[in-house]
Amino acid sequence: MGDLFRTPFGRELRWVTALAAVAAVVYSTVSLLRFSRFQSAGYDLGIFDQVVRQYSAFMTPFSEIKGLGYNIFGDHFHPIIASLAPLYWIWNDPRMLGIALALLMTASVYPVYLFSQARLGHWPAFLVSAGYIFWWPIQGLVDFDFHEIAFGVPLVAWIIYALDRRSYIAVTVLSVALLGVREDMGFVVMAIAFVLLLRRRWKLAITLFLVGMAAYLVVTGKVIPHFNLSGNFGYWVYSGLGPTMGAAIIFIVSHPLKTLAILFDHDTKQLLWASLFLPLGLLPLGSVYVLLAAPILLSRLLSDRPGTWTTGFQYNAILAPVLVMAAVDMLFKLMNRFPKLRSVRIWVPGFFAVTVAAGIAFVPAVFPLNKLVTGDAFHYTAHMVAQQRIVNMIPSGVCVEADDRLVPHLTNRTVVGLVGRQVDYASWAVIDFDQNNTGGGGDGNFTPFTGLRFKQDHGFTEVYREDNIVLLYRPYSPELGAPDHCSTPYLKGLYWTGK
Amino acid sequence: MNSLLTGAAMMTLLALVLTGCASETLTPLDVSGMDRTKTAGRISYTAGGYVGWWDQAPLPGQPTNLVLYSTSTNQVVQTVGSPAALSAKNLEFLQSPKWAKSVVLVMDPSTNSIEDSFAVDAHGAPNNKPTTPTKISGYEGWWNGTPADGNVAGLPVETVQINTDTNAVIDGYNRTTKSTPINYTVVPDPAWPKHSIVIIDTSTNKVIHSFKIEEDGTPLY
Repeated sequence: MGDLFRTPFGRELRWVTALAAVAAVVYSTVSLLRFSRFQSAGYDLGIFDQVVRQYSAFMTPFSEIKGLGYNIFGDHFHPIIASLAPLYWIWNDPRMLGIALALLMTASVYPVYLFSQARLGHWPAFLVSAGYIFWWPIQGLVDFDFHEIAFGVPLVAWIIYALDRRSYIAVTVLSVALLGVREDMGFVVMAIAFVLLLRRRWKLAITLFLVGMAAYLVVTGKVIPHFNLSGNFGYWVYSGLGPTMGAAIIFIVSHPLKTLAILFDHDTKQLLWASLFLPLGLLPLGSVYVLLAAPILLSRLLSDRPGTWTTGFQYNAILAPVLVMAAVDMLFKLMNRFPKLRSVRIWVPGFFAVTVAAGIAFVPAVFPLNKLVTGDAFHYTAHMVAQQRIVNMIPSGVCVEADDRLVPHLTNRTVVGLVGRQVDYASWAVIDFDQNNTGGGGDGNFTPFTGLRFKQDHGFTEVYREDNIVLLYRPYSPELGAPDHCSTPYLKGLYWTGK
Repeated sequence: MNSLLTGAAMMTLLALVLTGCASETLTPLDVSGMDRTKTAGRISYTAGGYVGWWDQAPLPGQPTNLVLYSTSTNQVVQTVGSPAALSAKNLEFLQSPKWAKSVVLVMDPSTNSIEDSFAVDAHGAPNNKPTTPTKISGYEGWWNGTPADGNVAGLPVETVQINTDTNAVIDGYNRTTKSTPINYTVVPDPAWPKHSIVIIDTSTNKVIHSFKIEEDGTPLY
């Protein structure tokens, strides 16, 4: 990998660097447009923005969107996002996360290229890389604004490249870094240990397996419950397997066929399998590297949460480098086994790149870049103008409850949460009647109308209305300590005058 | 290394450009002098009926065919739009004991949902009282309290509190055992004041204190 850092603009990597630059610009543009068109949301961009801003001020990672005084480590364990804090010293704005995400994605294109180039040659590897960086799972993550799993994408890609190069120190270092991405990356590290086991790297395999397992158990058993307001880890939702991980393992071992059936028991799951493996001609299934995808797919498809079974959201991005590199690995094996098939080194990568291009052109539901191509992403409506005008009417340094789509536009100058989350403290509220609900994913529990009734019952008065967006206000309740709660130490430093 | 530095410098430049682009002009709304809105402030009562949000231009998703139902008279006092006739299911909901007396419920009969509710006074004018009965599980006073000097001489050892409308013991206290559940058989007395709480010294079965309460249990001192 040292070679790479010395020559990112050298002859060997010139083309892939150009590809990375194009992808960075395209994805940054998508992020910035999503923000300015009020397509981004408090869940999750606003949450991460609040957390990174806290980090940038060397403060505890609270997110008021999750709840006042809510430490984000009570939700998920992703200390790696603290590394983004310096970006906020340059530009204190949620859009910085969109740019960071674009750069993280492009950082993963290098190992995909180098891995492929060693097997297929330059131009086929370039086609694979181009298809990969614009494949729908990567686009899905960019269309979700930001997520901690963005760190996992380049890390997993580099880990596979390091495994391929037998660079086991790099494997170890990157695997430890992967544990800081999210609590369930412990399972991926255990999968990496399996790959090492197959190579008879016994000591390292056992060490990484134990480290991965211990990390998962400690983080979900001790760290997250310590910070969680309910004192538990809230994402164990596997009613089909059992109430604990131990029970789940017993079920999987004693009922392998039933477990297998759960992986395919819904149309959405079948569509996901098809969308991930068919464009790659099922090739990943022949490579050992597909093992790294197993814990991610299993944890999602065995879960009770239908949202994790889909092709949407951020969930699939980390699978993209694994499956693409595994496909290239298998293709190379086929070429060696059947020398007459050597021409596939050109047309298989070409076919993959063409399917991605066709997807962007004709399948907007799975390839969000379609909006950029058709120009829809540049279209501003009167409603968006009204959203911006109302956001600008809210003064800085106050407590706000806002529609999810407006939240990211307020995080860098107010203490903002979703409607109904700061009942005693908020003095401003915004409700958008063009939305189906006030937002917050599964936590959203208001229609705009019931949200408005709720706020009016709590003393709010409508002060402005435009294009079905209602701005409400009520004075603080000093007896509830609102001014203090509504000025985090960070905001106090910026806006609080003590009056 | 030079290339990386160049890249970093370009990113910084890009960020500066973006910072300039991102300086939206704030136009904070002037809300000085505004007070918190209470029920009586957002719903008014005129000869023509109640005036509230249902009289404004409807927002998307806002129900427009409503009935306003009084729990005092158990009757519809006003309609908005063209609501369907109240069904048995609607009436069961409207007449639920969960609502306080003297409350007006705003219902969308088609969805059987209460869209708003507000308490009213004897003349029908909205006030700021709660719309669900306040559950008070006991009252504190000289009969069960301890003076600041700790001297409890002359104070009753054991008392019970009885709601004269229901003749039920709602609370009690024994100074010696410091226990609150007191087993006491109520013998209703027609002389007890109505709509009141009477405090009885269980050693004598005499009323030692009484006070009027509102329908929701709030004491009227």
